[in-house]
Amino acid sequence: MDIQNKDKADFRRRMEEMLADYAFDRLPMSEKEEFEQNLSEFPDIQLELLEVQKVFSRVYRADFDEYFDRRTRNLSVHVLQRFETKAHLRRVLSKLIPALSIVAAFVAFAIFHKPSSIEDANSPMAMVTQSDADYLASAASNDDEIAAILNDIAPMLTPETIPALSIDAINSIDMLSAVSTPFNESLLEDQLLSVFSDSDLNNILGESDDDSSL
Amino acid sequence: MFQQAIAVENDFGLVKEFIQGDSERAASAFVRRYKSFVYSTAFRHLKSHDDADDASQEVFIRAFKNLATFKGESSIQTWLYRITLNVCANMRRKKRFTSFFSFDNDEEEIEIADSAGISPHNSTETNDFMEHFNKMLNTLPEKQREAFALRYFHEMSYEEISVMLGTSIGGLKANYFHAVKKLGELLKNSELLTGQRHGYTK
Repeated sequence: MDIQNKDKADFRRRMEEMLADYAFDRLPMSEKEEFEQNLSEFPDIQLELLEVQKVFSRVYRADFDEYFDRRTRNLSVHVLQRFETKAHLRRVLSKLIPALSIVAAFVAFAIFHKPSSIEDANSPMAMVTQSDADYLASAASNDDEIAAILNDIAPMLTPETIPALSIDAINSIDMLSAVSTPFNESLLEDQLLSVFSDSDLNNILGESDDDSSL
Repeated sequence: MFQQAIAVENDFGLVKEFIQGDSERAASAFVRRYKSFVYSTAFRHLKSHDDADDASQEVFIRAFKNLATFKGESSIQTWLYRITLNVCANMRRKKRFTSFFSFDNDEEEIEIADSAGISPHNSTETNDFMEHFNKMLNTLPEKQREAFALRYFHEMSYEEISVMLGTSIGGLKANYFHAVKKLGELLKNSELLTGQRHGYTK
């Protein structure tokens, strides 16, 4: 290769780039020949090469391998253990997640969905049945029972539920108020008045004889 | 060249075996083949043996998890190198975050971790020399350090290293030359090379 025709600086850079690989015998044959042919042109690179070869003759790749082999002696065991632990955890989670989802669905259902007994209690048809009415009528002679019954039915009496009361239920409430003592009479009155105006209440109780339902 | 081809074939064979059978044997062989490469890379970036050990384990676990998606567009070594850099970056970030809330001295921690990793059994001449050499290596700029380690110790081609480091082959050769020159200077002045390695056989 004719150096005269080349940019000296570029060629020098090329020689420098080849130096390390030449020193460590890793240069392809064609480049090795090129380097050897032109080395005499660069005395400083020649010196550099000798220095590198001398100093690095003690840095063995085998040392590097031995050093890191020793450091990583148990690495495969640790990796496999950790990988197995993670895989086991994934397997457990894959089984646990559906179960937890079902539990969460139940919890959510319990929180956001009113129990059917409460729904039934608020539904007009289920509020006071015929048997309730009979029971109210039969219990009307006992003050304590009347008080308990009134306590039970008082929260159910709302503008939405009253119109659906059966005639027997209205009669029973009417009868309760007729036979009640001052204690339960005032309780019933308070509850009914909290829901209805005075005139509405009179209408309900007055019309109950004529209508089958309100 | 022929040896390289065999190695590549073996690599893909191992990957195939692992994916198909999820076999422990293939996983173990895979780790054994690349453990030094992954560990030394992690050590150069984290400068602590304990951290390098943790990082290496994490690299292989990530690799196993993603082996099925490995398309073979790059070599396995290049792929592992990228995973290692990501894991090391994450660990450094985590360390910076924890050290921000800690009163401990980081430098001191690294020294303790390093000395704790050397057992009496492996505290040999080679060990001392490599500890010293690694310290010298760590004084180089990152590109020079990586170019030197990948070329000199891992004997990788410039083409492969340039893909790993994202530099041109010309720039890579220049980095390699400067690394060799600087390390040569450092080694020349090193006490460990002025007689302490007498009698050592390769």
